[in-house]
Amino acid sequence: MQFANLLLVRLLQTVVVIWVVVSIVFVVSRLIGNPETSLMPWDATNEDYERIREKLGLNDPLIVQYGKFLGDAVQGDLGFSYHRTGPAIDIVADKVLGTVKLTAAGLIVALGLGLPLGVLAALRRGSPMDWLARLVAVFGQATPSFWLGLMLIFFLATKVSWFPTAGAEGFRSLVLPAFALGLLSAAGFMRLTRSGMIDVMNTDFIRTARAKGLNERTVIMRHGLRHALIPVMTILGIELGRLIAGSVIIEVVFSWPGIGRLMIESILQSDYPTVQAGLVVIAASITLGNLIVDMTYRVIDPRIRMAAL
Amino acid sequence: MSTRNYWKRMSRQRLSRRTLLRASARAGVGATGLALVGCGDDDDDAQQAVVQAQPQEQQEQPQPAEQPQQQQQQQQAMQQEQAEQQAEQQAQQVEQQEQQAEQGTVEAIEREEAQQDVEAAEPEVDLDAHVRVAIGRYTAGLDPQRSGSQTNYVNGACTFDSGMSNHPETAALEPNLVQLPEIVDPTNVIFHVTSGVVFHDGSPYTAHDLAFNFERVSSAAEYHQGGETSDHPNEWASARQAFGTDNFASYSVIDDLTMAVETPAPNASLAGSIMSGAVRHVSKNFVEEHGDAYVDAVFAMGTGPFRFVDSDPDVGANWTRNDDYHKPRDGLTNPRLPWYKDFEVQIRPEPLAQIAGIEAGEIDAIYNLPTDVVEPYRDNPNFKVLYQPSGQPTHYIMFNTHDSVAEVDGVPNPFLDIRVREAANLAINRQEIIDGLLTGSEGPAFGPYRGTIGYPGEALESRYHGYDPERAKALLEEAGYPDGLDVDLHIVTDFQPIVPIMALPVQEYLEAVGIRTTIKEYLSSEYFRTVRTFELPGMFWFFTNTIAEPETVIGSGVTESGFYAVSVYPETEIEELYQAQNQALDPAERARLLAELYITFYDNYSWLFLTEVSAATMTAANVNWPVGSAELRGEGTLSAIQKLKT
Repeated sequence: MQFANLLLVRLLQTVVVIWVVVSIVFVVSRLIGNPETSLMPWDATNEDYERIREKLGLNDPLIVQYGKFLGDAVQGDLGFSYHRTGPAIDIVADKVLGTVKLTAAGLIVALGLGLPLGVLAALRRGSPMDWLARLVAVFGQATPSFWLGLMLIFFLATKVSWFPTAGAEGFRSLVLPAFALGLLSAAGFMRLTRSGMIDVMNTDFIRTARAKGLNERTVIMRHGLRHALIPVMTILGIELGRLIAGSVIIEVVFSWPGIGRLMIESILQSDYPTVQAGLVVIAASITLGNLIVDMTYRVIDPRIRMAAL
Repeated sequence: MSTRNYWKRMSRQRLSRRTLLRASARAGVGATGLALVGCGDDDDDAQQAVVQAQPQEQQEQPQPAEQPQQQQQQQQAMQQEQAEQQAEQQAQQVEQQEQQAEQGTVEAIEREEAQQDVEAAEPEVDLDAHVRVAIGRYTAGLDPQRSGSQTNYVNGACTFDSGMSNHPETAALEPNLVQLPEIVDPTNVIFHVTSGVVFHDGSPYTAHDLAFNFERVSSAAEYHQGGETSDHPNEWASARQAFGTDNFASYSVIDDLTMAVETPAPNASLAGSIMSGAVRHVSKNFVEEHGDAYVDAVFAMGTGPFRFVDSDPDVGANWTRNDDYHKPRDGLTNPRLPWYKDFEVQIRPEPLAQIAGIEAGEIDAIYNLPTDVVEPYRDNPNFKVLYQPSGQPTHYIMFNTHDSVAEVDGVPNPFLDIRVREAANLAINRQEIIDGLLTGSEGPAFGPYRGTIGYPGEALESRYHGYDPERAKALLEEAGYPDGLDVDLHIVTDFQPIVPIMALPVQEYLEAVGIRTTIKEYLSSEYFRTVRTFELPGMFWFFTNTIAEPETVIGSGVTESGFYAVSVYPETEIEELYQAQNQALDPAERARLLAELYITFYDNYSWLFLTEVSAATMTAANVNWPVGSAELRGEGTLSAIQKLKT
């Protein structure tokens, strides 16, 4: 299959995934919430409630509401926020940059910590360095991100005042949330890199590279790490989804303005259009992220490229 | 299941909370809302005086046989009596004038002393300070009268004003944008607008604005007719319809400073309701010029102590001091000319991140914090920790006694039997909840109206239901439930954090006497509408703010037509007393009737009365936040915050 065809198929799959996610959310949100309740006063009459339900189209059969929603959605119209006075997609779009910044920073922390630690641990297997790296990995995977976030605030923001305790003003305010978000993924990357490197460094081609007289740095970076990174690439897409999902909690702990906090507020207020628009953006981000990783994977690993062809 | 299980699980927390928080209770911090207790005593004395005077008048009436001789004497006596009465009246007038003069002198002295205190404090306070307060949520809407933005209390209190206000110490109604009402007759009232009040754009506040605000909150303003022609994309629904012109038979603007109102019947709560902080006043010209959507989403403009600058619902909002505010700093703590220049609200959903903000010097004050969160900081010199009743300090559970649930699955509603209601009340060990789960400084709840007009504190306390599980079991057996009964307990989980926590011991206490409950949880967006359908059987958890004017609470939760009146008892005198107090224009008589209503309601075991619930306020060490004994630290007292010079 040609690369372009493959890309087209994957894009179609992405659209299907987004459609399924949004459809599920559409149905579930209408089963559990009545948005008119939060729009009307406490002394509103049943007639008032009926009027606003009619105006919002909530009295239509579910299938009619769904058809209208899909029809509007394909035109880029995801409705008008019930509480924020603006098109839902615009409100979500305003928050995309915040979440992208946080997720990207979290990914940088994850890769920046996980890969070097994994390589070091593999090369010095059984040494204190290896033990330390594994300890960090266990700690990272076992620590809830919200607790880690609070501890980071407590020690690094209030005790030594290196970073602000909350907000999104400047680079310094990004450091703690990015670390709290990225540590879990860093632990995963570290373990995969370590095991991959241990396997690779015992293979014949590495022995051959050394026998050819290549310096150790070249052997590790060009031959060892490149191969060890293939499984890391495999889980990169999954980790990207985890980072986006994890950013919801981190945004709350660090008062970071992003899609996660917007979603929580919107869910509490039964603001369907904003919830749906937010989920479309999140689902699209995760599936597109996975698509990019898949495509990159095929570029990096000739075996997969050949298999696909 | 034993009632001890919950407390065993909680034992460690209970000990630490007791030790730490009882100290604050001993310090007396946070005691509010008791100033009005005892209003009924004066009235009782007056009644006794009337009863004692009657026999003397009867003795002084002449006998028929002595009429010829006595006519002259009688005339003389009458003249003498008239003269005496005139003299007495003159003496009373002189005494009254002297009292008024004396009272005026006292008030003048108090004002002067308060002014001296203000002048003495000013050099210590940084009047150009930038004060930052952290809150958990800030809804997007800026319109103080739109339902979809009804929880944006910060903007409401900063940018806007209410018609009248309550005295910080006595909770008595006071002039604000509008003077106290001039009562022409029982159904006609005149409101005089306070002269000299201006909006932030410099335009004067007039009686036309006053009338417009009533029309707008009752969705009767001509420009949008209940939202149908409003330019607001999600319809404009009033947050407080019942506080609008629904209360009026007719009204008219007489001139720029005067508005006349006629009510269908005498209405003792009229001014306290329609002029309360529930209705913040907007500018007629501004709203008509810009439309509802602009007012809600773009810019807020009112007469309040702060001028709106900008806001982002996910980051925060900014205001700056309104130097033209109509109330100067005079020592009182409800909205006055602020003690600082710039005001910033930061949105921090996580309470610990809010506290970290104070520790890092990024935040100056936080209010309405859960008490357990602030415990570790009580002795920290970098903080001031203050306890006080929270915004919704009284918790209780309403029994659904409506006709719609008179029978459930063919079985009579158990709560129609007063013995079952009494058993539920006797099942709860409130003191154990207060000591173990709360701060230890709270008291049991006697109703939704602590601190309101006529609240008979001592009389209610003497009737305290107490904790008697054996008696509760006996009552249930006597009522025909020897094996107990099964009911639903409906609770809201996201409105008051303590509710789902406190619901667990309450459930265990009830189960211990045989009332087995299934807890049904709701989000607030669902709960309040569910409550007012009155269609679900069982018990509904509720809570109430401390509000001086009781109509807000009893008008919605006690009277049979109330929106949240889940527990109604037509066979009792409750409704009659409600109607009577609402028509009693004499304040003393109204207070007496209210006291009687409160006692009758409590004696009827109308609700399962639980406890008060406290909240905490934290400030940085260089920040003062004084409030009156009838006030809460919150939106209504933000202008009183003082940041000291360092």
